[in-house]
Amino acid sequence: MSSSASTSRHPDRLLMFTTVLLCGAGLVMVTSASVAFSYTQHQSAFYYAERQAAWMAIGFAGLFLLGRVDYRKLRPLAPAGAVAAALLMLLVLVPHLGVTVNGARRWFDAGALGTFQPSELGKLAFVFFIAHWVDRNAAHLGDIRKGLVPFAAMLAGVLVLLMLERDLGTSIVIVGIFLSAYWAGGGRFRHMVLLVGGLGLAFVAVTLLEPYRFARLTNFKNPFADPLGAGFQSTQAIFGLGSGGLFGVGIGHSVEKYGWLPEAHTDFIFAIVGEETGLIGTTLIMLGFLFFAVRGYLAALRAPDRFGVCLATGITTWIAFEALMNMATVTNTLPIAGVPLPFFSYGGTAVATTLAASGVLLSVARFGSGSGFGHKNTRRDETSDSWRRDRWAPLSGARRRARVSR
Amino acid sequence: MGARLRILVLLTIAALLAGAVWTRLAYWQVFRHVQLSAQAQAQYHELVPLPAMRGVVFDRNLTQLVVNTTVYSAFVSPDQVTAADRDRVASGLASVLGVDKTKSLQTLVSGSKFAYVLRRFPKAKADQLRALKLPGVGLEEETQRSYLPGIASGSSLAANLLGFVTYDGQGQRGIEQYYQKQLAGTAGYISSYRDLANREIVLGTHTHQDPVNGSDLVLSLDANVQYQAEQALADGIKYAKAESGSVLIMDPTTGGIVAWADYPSYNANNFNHTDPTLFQDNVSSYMYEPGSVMKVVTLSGAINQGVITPDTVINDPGYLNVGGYRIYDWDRRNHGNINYTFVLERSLNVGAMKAMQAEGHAAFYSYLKGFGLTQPSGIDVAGETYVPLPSQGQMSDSQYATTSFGQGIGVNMVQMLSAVNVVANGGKYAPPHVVERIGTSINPLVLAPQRQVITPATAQEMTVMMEAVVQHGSGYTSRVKGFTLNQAAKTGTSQIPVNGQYTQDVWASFVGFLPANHPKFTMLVVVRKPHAPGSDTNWTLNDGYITAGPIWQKIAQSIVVDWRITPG
Repeated sequence: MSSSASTSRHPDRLLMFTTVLLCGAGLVMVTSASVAFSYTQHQSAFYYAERQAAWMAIGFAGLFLLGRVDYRKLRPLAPAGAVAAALLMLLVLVPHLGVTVNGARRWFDAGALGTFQPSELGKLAFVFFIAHWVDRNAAHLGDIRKGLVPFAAMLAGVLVLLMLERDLGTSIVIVGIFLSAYWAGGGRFRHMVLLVGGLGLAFVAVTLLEPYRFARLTNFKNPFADPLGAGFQSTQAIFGLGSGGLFGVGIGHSVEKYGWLPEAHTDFIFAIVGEETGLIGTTLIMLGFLFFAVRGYLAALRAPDRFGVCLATGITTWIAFEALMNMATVTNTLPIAGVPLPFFSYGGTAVATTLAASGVLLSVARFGSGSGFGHKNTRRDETSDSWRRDRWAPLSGARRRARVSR
Repeated sequence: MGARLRILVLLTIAALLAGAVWTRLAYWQVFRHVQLSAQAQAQYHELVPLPAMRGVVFDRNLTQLVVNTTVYSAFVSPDQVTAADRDRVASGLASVLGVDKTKSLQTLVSGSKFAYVLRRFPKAKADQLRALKLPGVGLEEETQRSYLPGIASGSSLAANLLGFVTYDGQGQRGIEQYYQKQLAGTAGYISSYRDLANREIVLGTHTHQDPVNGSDLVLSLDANVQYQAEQALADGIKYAKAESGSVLIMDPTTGGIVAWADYPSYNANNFNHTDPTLFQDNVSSYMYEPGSVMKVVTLSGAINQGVITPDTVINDPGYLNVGGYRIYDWDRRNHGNINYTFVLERSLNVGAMKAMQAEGHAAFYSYLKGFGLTQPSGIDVAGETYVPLPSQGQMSDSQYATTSFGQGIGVNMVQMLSAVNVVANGGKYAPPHVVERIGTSINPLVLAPQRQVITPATAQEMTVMMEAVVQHGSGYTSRVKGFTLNQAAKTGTSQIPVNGQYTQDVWASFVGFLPANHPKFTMLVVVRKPHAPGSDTNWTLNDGYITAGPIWQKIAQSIVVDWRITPG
């Protein structure tokens, strides 16, 4: 733990370690889960495993690079990056340029590396941009016209783009990134309520518009009602989890991955994890992501500036909530949303950008002080442990609000 | 609101979501584990059983007593029969299999996926049905045990000895039950997993186990003798109007069973339409009081102890007072001074009691033990019943007295024949058994040394006494042409007790071996509750020498011919 002085320049080894462990487990599981599909599609059992490993290598290169560079140096690139990402996301919709899979056009052909998904890169670009925007507009964030409306408009713009790609999953993650950064940067509670309410209504509208989304919702109530039709994927996922029991059937011994469970190596890989490693494995992975969340949010608290706070919060929310949303989907706790499991689900762009984002998070942790941005003057020599203790400390809420929100 | 609190809110939401997901995970993975595994297995796991071929059974001449045959079952998949074809299919099934046409039509209209039309019919019908090429109709092969036909259409050969096999492969009764494990073998299987496209998954989980076929059994039984025994028994029982009867024939030197007949019997090929009471085997699972046949054991013991000889003279006033009871001879006559040969010839109870008293209770009991009457015979046929004799000290004086002439002691036929066979086998007890070989290994009982119960000299003396029974006594009804001076026998008749009171119903028996000087077989015939012509006025007409003796004679006659036994 970086319990050193305020000018700590040590990387957060625990966060680093957790990321590497999750990636390692993810590579093993994506290999195991994809062998059958990979062989039938490409006559090579390791087609997907190889590509995932290559993208993971690219991702780790990004992670080490971004982890060493001060994140503040990248801030000037934020607006341009967001525009570039938005353009790429538009470009992918152009026929013949984008690749269509399962009726959705979200990918570019990336040659030997498989495909490239701009919306994944968009997550990284937008988290930078929104952190930058929130910090710049911190002074009038509480104002409806100067704060809430522009924020809502930007969010709506991105969401429209994503809905054109029929990408509900990424939309949910983008909402998470935007809202968490806005909230951490000092967004008003009642504005948050307004935003969440509006998004909820939009979600209902979108669901009612698309028949397959509505089917997912009705099917969520009881996947066993139509086990061979609409409930097939959920049913197979639950069969996988259930077969695993406490200890699992052993890594490599899943049967669900042999065509039974659709998207076994992508969105539903967690069911294969459950089948092969049991409740022990699923619990460990869930704890891994929770620990990632704790370290990530801790980095946010220790960030030296508001930009860092928003950036670290946005990235942590992105990865942690994406993971939890995915698990919730697989376990039928929430309806199917189409969210991948970070570090696990097959998807080159996703794993590379997630790792790059983790690098940014490590950078925030490295250049942050033991006492965060919000406590610069009051808590000089705080340790991470004292942060826990402070939860019980009798601090005046008003004083803190005065410091951060206004 | 401070930054810490804001972050804490986010972390709390994450923790709550994680808690909800984990609860759900634990529910699926632990609470519903068993049920979901089963459902998942049902969807992708396929276990194809590879049945093992059940071993067959041969007699001593390698005549096959049971054959595995293939029978067919017809099924129909109504959902694959179009409405236009229904009538054709139903009438086709009716014409070949004789099933009710309207019933078949009902099945066809139901639109279900699978229904049996008729089960277990022979190949000829299956071929006819196949030729019709009816849509949606299929045939399934099943194996069935076929036993040799018996003396009448309603019976199969040695049914009570062999038993039968249920449709799910379980041996029931007799040899089929006793040797179930060896006959059945071990079924194999092919276990495979399928992917969604029903392709086999060959990565590691594929397992294959070949079946191990059951062992064939070779019996000491002789099918020809068995057939003759069943025929003679049936005739004899019908003549005596008896309730039932049994014949047991043994190879004197090995203890191997040569014939094991029951009447009435049943048809093992039709066991599922048979009154289960007919499955009862009266040879090893019916206890009876052997009566005077026991005198062979009593007198052999006394001679072997040296307390009497065949020529020892005793006084027989026709009764003896024992333990407060007066026990009579069967004829209640004063026979005066007589020797033991005469006792056996006329089957006199007083003589048997005096011989027993001469050797004493302890010695008598030890001979009962030696002759195998105090423990089950251990015959390798399912369902032997046995009533343990009270221990030596617990038996009263009167019980010793009655036991000496075979009343008040319960035995099964295997025990009794094995006991008398000691005399035929030069004083040695040959353990009774039916199976000589299991697969390629010999039944260890055949090779085990036999215990000497009485000396060869005693056995010889007793043989002479039993020859006298045929020549001068009650055994005259069993005389086989050419062996009159060379056959040994003893009759037995005992009243059947009901609720402790002896009734007029009897167990009539006849035991003997032939040729006396070099026995080829020992045979025991038991007739239960005979009502021979004229017995309503003279109940002695139900006696063993009248009812069981002629059966013995008829079978012995045919063995002599069949085995080419020559006198002298």
